[in-house]
Formats: sequence, C-alpha cells, structure tokens
Amino acid sequence: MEFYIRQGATDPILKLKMIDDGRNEKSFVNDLLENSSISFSMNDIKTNKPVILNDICYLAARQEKMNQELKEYCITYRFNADGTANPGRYEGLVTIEFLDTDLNITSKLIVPIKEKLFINVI
Amino acid sequence: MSIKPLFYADNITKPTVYDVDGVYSYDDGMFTIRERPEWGWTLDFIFSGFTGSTGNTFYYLGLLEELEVPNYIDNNLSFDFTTDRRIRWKKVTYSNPCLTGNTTIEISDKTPILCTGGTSADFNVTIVFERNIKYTGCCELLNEGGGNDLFTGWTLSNPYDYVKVSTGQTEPQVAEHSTVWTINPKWYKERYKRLGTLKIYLNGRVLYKITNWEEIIPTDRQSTERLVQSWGGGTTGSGDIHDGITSSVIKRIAYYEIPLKYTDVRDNYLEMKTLYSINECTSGCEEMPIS
Repeated sequence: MEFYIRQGATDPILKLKMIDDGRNEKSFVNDLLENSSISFSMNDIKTNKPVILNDICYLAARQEKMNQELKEYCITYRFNADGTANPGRYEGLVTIEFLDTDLNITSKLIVPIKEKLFINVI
Repeated sequence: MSIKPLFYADNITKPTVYDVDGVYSYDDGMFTIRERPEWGWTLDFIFSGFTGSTGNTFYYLGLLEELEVPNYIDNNLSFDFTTDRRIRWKKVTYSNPCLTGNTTIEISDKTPILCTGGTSADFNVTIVFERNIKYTGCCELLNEGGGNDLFTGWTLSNPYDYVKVSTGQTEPQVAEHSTVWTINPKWYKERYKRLGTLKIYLNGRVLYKITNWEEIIPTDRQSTERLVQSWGGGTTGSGDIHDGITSSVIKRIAYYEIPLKYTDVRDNYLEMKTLYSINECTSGCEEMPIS
C-alpha cells in the first residue's frame, strides 16, 4: 500500500479501514475499537529509525445514509509538519491496544497485516 | 464539533424534574421531551466525586409516586449508583405476562466497578439507548410498539337510559366515555419493536453494553400522576425501587434525542474534560521495581 504526501504537509489524512472480504465476522471489531488506544508510528526505511513514534490516532464513524446506523469505524491519522519535514520513503504502522473497563491493555493488534504500508513524502 | 443536546443544565438542584410532553423555555427557544424519539436517546452527566450510599438514584423516567401496578408496569426506569461503585439500571415488569394474576418483578443489571481514579474528581457518565429499528414520524412512533399499542378501547360512562334514543327525542345525546390504555397481548407481541442496545460510558469509554434491551416508553395510561424525567433523584411508588436522591453533586446534565455514537461521546467527553477537572482511569502501567 502506498500513501503519498507532500513535504511539510499535514493533509491528506491517512485513513485505514478494515477489509471486508466476507470471510470473517467483523461486527465485534467495532465494539473492541470503542475501548482501545490507537497509535501511529513511522520508520525510515533506509535507516529503520522512527520518525513518528506512537502518535495518537482517531476513530471516524461511517454511517449508513438511510438510517444513520453505524457501518464501521475507520482509523485516521493526521500528519504534522515535523513528521513530513524530510522527503523519503517510510513504513507506517498502526498499533491498536484493546482495553478492559479499567483501561488495562488486554491485547494488541498491529496493522496492516497482509502487506506493508509505505508513506512517501515527496 | 460536538452534537448539540436538546437541553443541558449546570449545577442542578436534585431532583430536577421535567414533564414528558411539557414545553420548556430554553436558550432563547423552547423544547419538549418526547415520549419516544425516532432512534433512541442519550443522557449525559458530569458528577463531582463518587459517593457510595444506598438510595442513590440519579435518573428516573416514568410516573411520579404512582401506586397502581397497571399504570407503572413497563413504565418506569431508573439509574443509580450502587454502594460497591457500579451503575445499575432498574425497572419493574410482570414476571410472566402470559399468566393472569401475575406478579411484578424488578429486573436490573449493573456495570463493572467504576475505576477509583476516574471517579475521584469530576467524572462523565453517558448513557445511550439505540433502538434496533428506527422509526420516522409520529404514526410509526405511536403504532410500531409504541403508546397506541396500549389502547384497548373505550368505556362508556353514561347511564343506558341517557344514551338510548327515546321517542320524541330531537337532540343527539352525547356519549361520555373514557379511553382505556393498559398492558395487553398486542403490547407484548410488538416487544421486538422496542428492543435496542443500551450502552453506559464512563469518561468517554464504554463500560457496559447490553443488546436487545427493551426501551421504556413513558405513558400516562389511567394515571393522574405526573409523567416525568427526573434528574438527580427518583420517586416513591413504581414498585418502590426507584427511591432516593443521589448524594453525588451533579455539575451538568444534558439530554439528546438521538443515540450518540462512540465518536460523538468521545468528542463530547474531550470537550467536557477542558471544562471540568476530570481524571482518567489510571491504566495498569505502574512502574515495577526491577528485582
């Protein structure tokens, strides 16, 4: 996956949504995401040094137009100017920590899983 | 931008009571609390510190001081704090509606224990009900599992001699009647139309969720008592399970006639956090000594 952004820019916003391939039940994921801590990290591919480390991500709700039912959440991350200061190719990782009612971490998911997310600052 | 509530109030006296279907002036406008919004509703509270004691009802919906079972059955709902630091919902219903001469029972459930850190200062509680089926317009709201399903007929109250047409009568006689609204098989048959999901959030995080929870549609039925939404306290009657006034200080209440999504709840919480001294629940990330 390739994401492109201009040097020093904060837009476009990076958005990730769950792939619905019809094979897996995913309705429970919405509930889990509502009690989670989500962060974004970005590493330089050449040096493997982190440029952004565990910066906060947000959830955005996608709703059905007809009845306002929640369809799904997508994870969003807005870059800051420091994060895109240097042109280059980076790898992005989103870490989702699922929490219990006392906000203790119960499990951790790092996405994307199947293929890497490359951030191209141009 | 956070969603605007139907109304909100700061530092309320307890209890603050609004009549359902009453008209209130507010913020250069007016509002009415409807019996049944289209999709659901949201209650939002800012409490100041948790005080655990019995009789800690902080919200009640239904008839005030109603003693007649047919009037208050499936017509009462309250939320309170338990002494072991939980939020509990309660309502009175029939144990088995199929039987005649049935008895009433209290049904209730409670959240996990509220975290100590998150309730040590001001804290935000949000309660959201979202119906499985969404309705539009008054007809659907009244007829699809709504108040009209309680209607069973009229009772004529004129004496027979008064309404019968007698010889030489020129003026039509006016029949006096009273309508009868009560629990009946149709009400139960359409129960699925009242089901939805109840969620309780503490400081913008989901604490409790129950699916296929039956909503309460406040209705007058045959009662002469007030039909109310009571903030900060409960009522006597209605099965005597909603008593008391919460000992917690309520700094803010807000009512939405829509079910807020998680993102809206979170957004609202982050805004409230800038206005009140709210502490987050402390997550289990204490540093342990290296041995």
